[in-house]
Amino acid sequence: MLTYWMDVNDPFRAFDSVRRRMDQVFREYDESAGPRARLSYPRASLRATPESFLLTAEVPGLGENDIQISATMDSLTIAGERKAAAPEGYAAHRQERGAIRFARSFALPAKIDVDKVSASVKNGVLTVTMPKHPESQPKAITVKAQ
Amino acid sequence: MTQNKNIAPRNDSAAEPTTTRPVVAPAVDIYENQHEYLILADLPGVPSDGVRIRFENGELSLDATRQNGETGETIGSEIVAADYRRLFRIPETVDSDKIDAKLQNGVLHLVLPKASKAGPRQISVTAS
Repeated sequence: MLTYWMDVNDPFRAFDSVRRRMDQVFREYDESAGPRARLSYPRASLRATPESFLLTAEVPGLGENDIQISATMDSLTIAGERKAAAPEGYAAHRQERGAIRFARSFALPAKIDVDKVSASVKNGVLTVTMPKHPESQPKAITVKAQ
Repeated sequence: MTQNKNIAPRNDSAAEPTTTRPVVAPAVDIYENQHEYLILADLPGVPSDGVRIRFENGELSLDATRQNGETGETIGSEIVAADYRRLFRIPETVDSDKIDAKLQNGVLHLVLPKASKAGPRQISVTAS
């Protein structure tokens, strides 16, 4: 680092390095915040009923054989791949729906019953139902008057 | 005094919304071959009776309504309850009577056949 600053032949090298770092920062920021953010594909939402958690994810173009799901007591992972849909013999004018391979994990707020997790896909929306573990279901406690 | 802080910037090309449901443009692919145009659109959450396709004055409009079947309390959500809308300008060479659409796994396949007169024609050269 010391020799770097003392480099009399090229005093602007330090600026170069700063600029490169800034470029990198902006690039990382862009990819995580842009409309085409791939880091958070697919878009999903998590809801809870008294008995179970429901995860829905938008996976247009994926069938039941294109999605892999694995669950632990407190997390769920969905993975899948959409292959390039370009039909043969056609020229492309516009392509916004790219091929994508994804894996996304969700931390769950309470324990689930791993053996009873079920999933279905309909109209391009994946729904995973995760029944809560008996341990994490609320129990009514009666109050005794003394 | 009431104040509405959610006034959206006016967009001249878009129709004015009369509900609070946002309208988004779905992602599409547009392909063409000798016989037809093919449009693929991502419409997750739309049942097959929720798609309306209209062809008028050389413009094809695609409207789709999402199903709302939400139960329980939301913990986190990235999915907006939105409708889809997108317009396409279609060249006159399309045979509008034969436009065909099918919905499969949340993807709309829209086939716009070209009118037969617009197809390529081989012209043979005769030697005199």
